[in-house]
Amino acid sequence: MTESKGKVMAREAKNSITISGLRKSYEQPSKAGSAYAIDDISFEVPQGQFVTLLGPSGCGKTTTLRCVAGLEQASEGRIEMGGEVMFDARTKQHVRPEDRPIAMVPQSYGIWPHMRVIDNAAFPLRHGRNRRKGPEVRQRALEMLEQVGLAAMADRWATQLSGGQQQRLALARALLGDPQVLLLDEPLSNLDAKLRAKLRQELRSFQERFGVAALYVTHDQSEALALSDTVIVMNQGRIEQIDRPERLYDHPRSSFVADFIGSANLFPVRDASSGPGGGVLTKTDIGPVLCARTGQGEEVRYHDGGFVCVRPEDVGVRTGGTGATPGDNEFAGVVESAEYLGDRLELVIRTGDVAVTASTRAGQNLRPGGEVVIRLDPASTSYLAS
Amino acid sequence: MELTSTKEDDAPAAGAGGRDAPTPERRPRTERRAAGTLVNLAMILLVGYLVLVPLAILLYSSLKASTTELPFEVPGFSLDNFRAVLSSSRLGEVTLNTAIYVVGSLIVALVLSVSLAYLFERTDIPGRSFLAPLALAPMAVPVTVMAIAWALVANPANGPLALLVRRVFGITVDVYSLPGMILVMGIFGVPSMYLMIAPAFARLNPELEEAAATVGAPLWRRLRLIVFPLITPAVSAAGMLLVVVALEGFAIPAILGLPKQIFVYSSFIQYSLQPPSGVANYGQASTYGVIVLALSLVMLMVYRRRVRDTHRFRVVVGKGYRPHRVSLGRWRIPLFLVVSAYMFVAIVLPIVALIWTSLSPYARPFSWSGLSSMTLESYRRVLSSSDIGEVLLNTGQVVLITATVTTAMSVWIAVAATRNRFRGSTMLFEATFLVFGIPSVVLGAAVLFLYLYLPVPIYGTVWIIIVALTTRFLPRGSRMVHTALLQLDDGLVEAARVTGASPMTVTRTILLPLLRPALWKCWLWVFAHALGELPIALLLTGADNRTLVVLLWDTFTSSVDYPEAGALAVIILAISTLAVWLVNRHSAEKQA
Ligand SMILES: Nc1ncnc2c1ncn2[C@@H]1O[C@H](COP(=O)(O)OP(=O)(O)OP(=O)(O)O)[C@@H](O)[C@H]1O
Ligand SMILES: [Mg+2]
Repeated sequence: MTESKGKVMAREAKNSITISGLRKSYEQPSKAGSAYAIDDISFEVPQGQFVTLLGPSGCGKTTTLRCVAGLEQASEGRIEMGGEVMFDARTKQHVRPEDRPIAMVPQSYGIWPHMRVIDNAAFPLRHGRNRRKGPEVRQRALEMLEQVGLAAMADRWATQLSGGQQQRLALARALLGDPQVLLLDEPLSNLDAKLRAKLRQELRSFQERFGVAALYVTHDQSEALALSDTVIVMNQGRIEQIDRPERLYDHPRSSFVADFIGSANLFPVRDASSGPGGGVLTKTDIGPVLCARTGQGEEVRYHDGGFVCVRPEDVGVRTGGTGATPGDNEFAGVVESAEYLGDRLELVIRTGDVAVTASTRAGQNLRPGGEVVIRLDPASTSYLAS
Repeated sequence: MELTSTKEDDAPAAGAGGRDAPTPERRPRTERRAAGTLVNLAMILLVGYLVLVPLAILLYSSLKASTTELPFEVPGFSLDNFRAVLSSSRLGEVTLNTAIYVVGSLIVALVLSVSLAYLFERTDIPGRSFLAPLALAPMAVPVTVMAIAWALVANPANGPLALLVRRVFGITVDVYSLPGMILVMGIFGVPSMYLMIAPAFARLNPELEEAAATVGAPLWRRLRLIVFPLITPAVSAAGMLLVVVALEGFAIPAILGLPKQIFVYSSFIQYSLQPPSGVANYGQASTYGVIVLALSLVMLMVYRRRVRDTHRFRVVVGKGYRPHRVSLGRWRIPLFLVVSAYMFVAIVLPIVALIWTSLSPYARPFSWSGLSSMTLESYRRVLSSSDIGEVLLNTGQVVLITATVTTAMSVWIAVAATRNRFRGSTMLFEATFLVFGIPSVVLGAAVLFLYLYLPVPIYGTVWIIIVALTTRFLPRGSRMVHTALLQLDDGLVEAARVTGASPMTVTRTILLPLLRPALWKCWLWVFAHALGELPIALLLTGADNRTLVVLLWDTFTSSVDYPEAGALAVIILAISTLAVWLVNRHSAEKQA
């Protein structure tokens, strides 16, 4: 333990949070085969970065966040913050929430209704980790309220704030605690769409201005992609992929991620073998497809099932007919439905028994019932092993 | 998945696991934590002592075969008490009386409170904005005062209500009878039942009822097929609770039943312990106590299942509907008159009779001519008696200390249970529920036995009463706080914890202020009930620890001085009303 600690400190000086092998079950530990709410979660939050946990409802995002905060104890694994061990299941170490260098904005904001706005904000200064005394407290709280645009309401009761103002107050309070890490659990989910878009920009700019690392939980993919430096996609208690937002879209590592982020055509693969030019040649229900891309970082295990993944905008469509013979990675099909969306045309094309979604530039004369040839460019077609 | 199963052994137990792990650089925290553990341990012992010891004493003494000696002086164990009680001719008579009394009051309370709740919550009956609060007003009247007020208003000799009924209908009414007891207990049970049933009616989505109305179902069918099934869980839960209260309640059977020797379990137990002959039968008292306890516990189990079931009916909660009320049509005014008459007879008249009697030179019916001879003589006599100062001091001590200590302990128990502060905290909370089923007569007797035996010198002081009353009110108090805690958003407390504030600070600055309304409610409830709680005070009273309610009992039953008893009752009533008013004003100010 002790000799490895120095190494750990050196390696992770740049990380605000390091989590490894975290598992948590809400059932009694004695029960055999108990299901895990989170299962073998490992990730890092580098200093000053904005990291998002993204996933469908019930996938364990809140549980992970609460374990980081220390409000729940994991059954297995290890959590470090700024190089210090906060939780280690093996050595039974657990630093309580009040002793961790964190601040949290809960989903319901946790604004105390029996206090005024200024008292809510000043709470961390008066009672928190780094207590202060005297007029400085009010001064600092007011400055922070100024920053979030609530200075004029400092002496109002906290219940007299609107939803968006409450959220900003919760943020101001969290920042006044001078945390290394800001934990946010779906702080925007209670707001209407317009306010949500506005506040998420504010949130990001505050986080950057104060240089604090943020761990953010959401089930809204557009929120995650717009805000984050790094997105962690979770599914059923496990991590599916950790990546930058743009890579997540272009290089999904699993069919779940491809489907969850944006929309994707996923064709089950019956058989896969190495194809020309380092690609993968797959057999699918629409025929043989050559994929130049493979799931990032994984060694492709052939003959293993998996999926071929193509984004709708990467599906090329041209009018077919009697003369047109499909070439490599080309398939004949019939337009089933066509939806005109102003800038583009959303098509559902049936080839064989499979429906393929394609999105093309408007202007082509494609009607339901028309015969077409679709082309899957190998360069934008991925083979996903799972 | 195989990996997890091999690792399972060295995973810590969820919960308390690593809590006490020492982190060298945080020495003071560890010490504070040790202090916290000590406090928890002390509280567990205290609650266990208060709650479990009386139960054990009760069982213990029921197994001690002796009619006259104190349980601790009898060697060996036997079932003789049970044999004697089960074979005695008294058992049948007392059981029958108890059954009639309990079932009768249940029916009266049920009919009254369901009707009132329906009329006030679902119909357009006029005047509901002042009638509905009036229905709850008797909550502030201690049950002993209530029983005496009824004795004054409906006694056959000079009770104004009895005289009125005789003159108008030609029937003689006597409140000192089983029907009299049933009526008073039924009326007494209305407010608490109404409180449980009214929300169920309020939540009822009127569209359900309207849907039935549009297909042409008449009112009675609509009630029977749509409304009743939906409110059944709340009604039956309230019913179970009333049965327990009626079963163990002492004041009404004692004040209205004893003059004609009509015994139910609770009054019979007290009679066995303090008979006119002076020779107490401890074994018999304990045995009846065990019987009542068993019956109460069965009821409480059913009650708890019912209450759990009510969550199933949450679907009834309808957001965004307009509270449309059923139109009573031409029945509006007649029903209003009936309800008003009930309110007048059941609530206003007894209190007026109490005040009237307290201001009269002797017990007499209402009359205009009597107005001229009103006098404050009885108040003067009460307040100038030699020991009144001591009695008031005792009462003040008992009531204030009990309310404060009970509320404090309730907070601790409820917080520990909801936040799962230590292993077994939930069990501790549940254990207090057992006390709920102990009749207060029995609890008083158990505490009496205990301190006659234990070398703790509190027998004969106010402290023995405080101990017994705290035990008695702990279950209700902790449940009130628990309910409030469950409704509190966890985020409020967690947001404070993660700022780094210590648990003590979080409790002081966030948790307690947020709970303040519930704490006041709990304090007030205990205050008012401690003020009027007769049997415990009666059993544990000595020369030096007499309280107002014991004085009232003595004045009413022994010296039969009705004006003086009336004056005492009015004083008790005034104190509890004042407390209610002060607390309500306080919380109203806080809201603003
Ligand atoms: N206190 C609890 N007791 C038992 N099971 C729980 C508890 N809290 C969460 N779970 C379970 O753990 C799993 C993960 O829950 P969690 O709250 O972390 O999901 P989430 O990803 O935050 O979902 P959402 O987006 O809906 O908030 C779920 O299956 C849930 O049922
Ligand atoms: Mg969640």
